[in-house]
Amino acid sequence: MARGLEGKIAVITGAGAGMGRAHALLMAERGATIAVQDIRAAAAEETARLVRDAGGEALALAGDVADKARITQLVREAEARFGRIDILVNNAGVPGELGTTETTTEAGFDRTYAVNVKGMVFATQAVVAGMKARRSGKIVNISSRWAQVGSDFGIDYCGTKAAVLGLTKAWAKELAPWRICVNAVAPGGVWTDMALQERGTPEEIREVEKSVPLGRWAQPRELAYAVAFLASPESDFITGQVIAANGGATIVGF
Amino acid sequence: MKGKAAVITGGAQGIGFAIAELLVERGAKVALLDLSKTHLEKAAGILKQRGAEVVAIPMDIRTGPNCHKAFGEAAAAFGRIDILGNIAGVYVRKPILEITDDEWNEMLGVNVRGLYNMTVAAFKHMKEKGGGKIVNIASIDAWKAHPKNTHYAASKAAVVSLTRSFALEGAPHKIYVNTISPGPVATEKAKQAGWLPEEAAKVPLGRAAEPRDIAEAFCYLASSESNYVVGANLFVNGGYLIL
Repeated sequence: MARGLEGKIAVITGAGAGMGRAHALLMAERGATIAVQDIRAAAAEETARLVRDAGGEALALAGDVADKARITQLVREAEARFGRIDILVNNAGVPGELGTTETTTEAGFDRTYAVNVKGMVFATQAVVAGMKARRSGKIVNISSRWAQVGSDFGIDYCGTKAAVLGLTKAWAKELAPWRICVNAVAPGGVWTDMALQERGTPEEIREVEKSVPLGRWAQPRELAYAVAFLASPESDFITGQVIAANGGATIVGF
Repeated sequence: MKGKAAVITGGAQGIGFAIAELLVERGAKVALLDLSKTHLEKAAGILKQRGAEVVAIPMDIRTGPNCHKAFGEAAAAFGRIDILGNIAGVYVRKPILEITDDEWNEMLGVNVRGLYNMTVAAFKHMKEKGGGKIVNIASIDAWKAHPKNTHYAASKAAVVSLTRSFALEGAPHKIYVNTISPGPVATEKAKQAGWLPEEAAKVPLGRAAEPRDIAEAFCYLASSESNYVVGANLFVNGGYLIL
């Protein structure tokens, strides 16, 4: 049975943990070779090891996505090793200060935008020339439900994730002539270590889960399915779009 | 999809048949529902030749009893229906002042009431069986104005709205309901109608959708891999409409 991503080379940013690691493992299962970027060298190595243990091929790339020179260099490293990049998953993200307008600091604001927006722009810039030359490519950006419906805290996060949607739509139009498809996945709540650090204890999250029509948060793998679909030839006619994988939260305006 | 059973309305032609083909390719059983007996026989014949388990049910979707009867026949044939694809639809373009009462009723009767009744039948069945997947076909016309598309656009906007309501009520029962909104699709009917080249030229990816493109999105939304996607719309339009 076809696995959908055979022979494809994917760069996944922020793949050292959580959703990024889930994307890496699922895409590797479906036949892709994975370049695992993360700011934490050990985490990137660990994901790469998990991919290899499952029979896949992976390369760990340690460095800060927010540093243009560094992320460009890491993408070049992946290209040198595997010959090309077919898929870029812009997954690296930080939750930001999770504060209010008045508590927002300049340093915090700059860091959130540097990782969530600037990092995405220059990771994309680094892969686009090769994709254009081959007249094919898939870019999947991770946004958030908060970009769609807002939140009463975390303006920096909401702003950056809305920027992700703007970038996705602009890139879809700019890059369509080269058959490069650019789409986003906007998750709702996901059970990741990051969420547990930022959103409270499991008991508190279980309380929050009740307001989702489906009654639960997602497992990282459920988001990986959406990303893998958008990275595969199955979605070759989808560009500029958002898969709102949020358990129905946005249909009730939550 | 292996071992799953699907009911596909409008399943004998165009997008519906492409969906049936892909489902069969991935190991599902399909019940094709269609108004045209001739097309049904041909479609079922093709799929059976590929070794598929197929039932063909000729039916007129415009009345509730017809929908419940046809769904019941499909359920009786397979024992359990896991997937409903609401694909049947009519497409007519007319200036507002030329749309007659009958034409309005016909458009809404097929695209909205038919879809609603099929979904109710599936909802009842899936609730008893512990869950299921429902995928509706809307259109970019549900989201944007297009000349002479008034009653068609209204019917497709209703599909988007029904999707959300069914999704919300279905979620606790593991009934997942989502919509696909295609742009221009190169079906045989569209090719014959003559407007396809002009519309395809407006698509950033440089072509109209093939029915298979819509079928791939359908299979994603009909599989358990999209279980956290609830009441959502997926545009499959080559960048034609980005909202």
